[in-house]
Amino acid sequence: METNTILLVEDNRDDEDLTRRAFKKARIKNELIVIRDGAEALDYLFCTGQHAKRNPDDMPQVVLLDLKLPKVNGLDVLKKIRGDARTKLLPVIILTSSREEGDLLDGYAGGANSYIVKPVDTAQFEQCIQQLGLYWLVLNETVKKA
Amino acid sequence: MGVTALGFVVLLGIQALLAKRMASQTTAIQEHYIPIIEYGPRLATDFEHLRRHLQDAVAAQDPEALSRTKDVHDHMVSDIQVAAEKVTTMDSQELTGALDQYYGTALGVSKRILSGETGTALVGSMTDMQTKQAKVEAILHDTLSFDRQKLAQAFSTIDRARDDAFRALITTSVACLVAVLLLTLFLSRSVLRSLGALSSGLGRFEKGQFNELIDLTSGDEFEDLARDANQMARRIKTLLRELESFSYSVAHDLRAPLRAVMGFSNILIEDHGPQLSSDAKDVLNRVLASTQRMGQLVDSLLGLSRLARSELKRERIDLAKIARQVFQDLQAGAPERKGSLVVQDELIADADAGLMLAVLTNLLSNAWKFSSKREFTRIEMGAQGVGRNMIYFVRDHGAGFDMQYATKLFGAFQRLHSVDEFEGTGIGLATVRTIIHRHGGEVWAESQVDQGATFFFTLGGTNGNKHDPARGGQPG
Repeated sequence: METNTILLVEDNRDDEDLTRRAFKKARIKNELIVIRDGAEALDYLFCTGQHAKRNPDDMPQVVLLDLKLPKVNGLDVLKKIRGDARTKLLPVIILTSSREEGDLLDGYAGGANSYIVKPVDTAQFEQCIQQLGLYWLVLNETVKKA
Repeated sequence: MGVTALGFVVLLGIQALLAKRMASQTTAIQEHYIPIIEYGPRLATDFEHLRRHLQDAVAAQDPEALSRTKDVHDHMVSDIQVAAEKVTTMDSQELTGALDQYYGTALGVSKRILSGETGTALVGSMTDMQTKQAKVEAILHDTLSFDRQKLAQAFSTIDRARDDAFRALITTSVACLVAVLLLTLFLSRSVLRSLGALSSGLGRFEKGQFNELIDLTSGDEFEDLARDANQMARRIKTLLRELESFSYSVAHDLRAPLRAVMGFSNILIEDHGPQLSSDAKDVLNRVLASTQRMGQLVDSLLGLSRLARSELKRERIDLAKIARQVFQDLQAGAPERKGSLVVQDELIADADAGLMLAVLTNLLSNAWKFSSKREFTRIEMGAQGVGRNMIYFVRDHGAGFDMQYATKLFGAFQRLHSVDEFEGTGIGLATVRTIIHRHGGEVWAESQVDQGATFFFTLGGTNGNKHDPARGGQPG
């Protein structure tokens, strides 16, 4: 069973707030769960450590993953997600600050569903989040229900 | 070098041997023949004198003259002693003895004739005297004559030795020359091989291929040079990697705070706009504009660094066609402006299509931009020269610039005009230069304030990795 939550793995509070606001402006009302490092993100998804008591069936609808993260970096988190049967099909969107990371990602062929270079411009950023929510939350949901 | 030295040593050896042969012959001539030639006739003359003095004294019936013949005799004896010192084959005692016997007898016979004696006894003594005279003459002949054939042989031996020396000199010289030629040929071949390896290696480095180092084990200075070049390549590779990670940090770490500044300024305007004075809103808008600009700068800087690392794909392209397309886009972007691009039908070049599009976009945009204050924008494009030395140019008749700043033109973020005057990030010409350099070409500009500007560039050509002194020379 899936919940409607969005898991945001992001260590930068400013980016978290801006993402949250962008979702709000795009009228995406799904619950946003924010995790600040790669290790905790894995704990959350696999219900270990401080998230041991979480219901393993409650998987987020989409994971927004930053690449530069404390403890375990985004690419390693993605590798663990793709390597486990429980999360193999989980939609993961890489949200990155730099285009260079995009190049890196091509090399790793990490298996992200898409990756987005976060624009500096606020309007572009909000537009980006809106499209992302539309596709992964609304459109994907529609496909599943059909 | 070694062969030449060896040649000289051999030459000197042969010369020494021949000189020794010549010297022994010369010594024989000097020690044997010359004293005989000198003293032989003298002693013969001395003896002739002695006999004549005796005969004359007898003929003149002069006993005093007869006794004076003793001096002549003594003179000959002293000559014999002197000659004996020089003529090694002469036995002075034998000769002196024979001389004394003859003189004694001759003196006795002469006195007897003077005293008027005649008869058989006197004739017998005279015969004895003649025998002794013959003995002296025989000794003189034996010791003081020489074999003319042997002397001739000695001279011809010297002649031969001289000829041999001359032949040896010629032969050794020719041998040395041939050796030097062969050595030079061998050296130049190995030098050419080393230079080839160095040149192709440096060519790879210039193209940014640092994985294959120069493999040269010639054991000479070229190997040192190759080692230094390899070290340099490794260092450049490390620096490039550092530069890439630096770009990465700039991209990631600089963009995030920019996004925050912009995002939160927007929140302030959107959520708290009504509470803000118009001055405050103006300030915030300026913050936003600057942040946006900085975002563009960071992005273009990253674009530039990506460009420098991208793969270069040379193909035959028509620069005129690309330029016409770029100009059409510029004109379409500002339909109110009147302008024309003057370019020949075809400008074929051997270059990377995508990168040359970026070059022409930048050059034509600049020409277009800096002509914006003219009523009519005329941009010319063309080429002069042939092949690798082909020089392409893009000319406008716009604002131009002071040549004093021509060197600053191509630096990243260098601007010669204020943003208010002509907008831009200051990265365009840096991009142009990076691309032209990637092609192994050069780019430069000529201008006068208010008289327009001309940008020239070359593209290196297929052999662009080789150093071409004709390239990079700027006309005028």
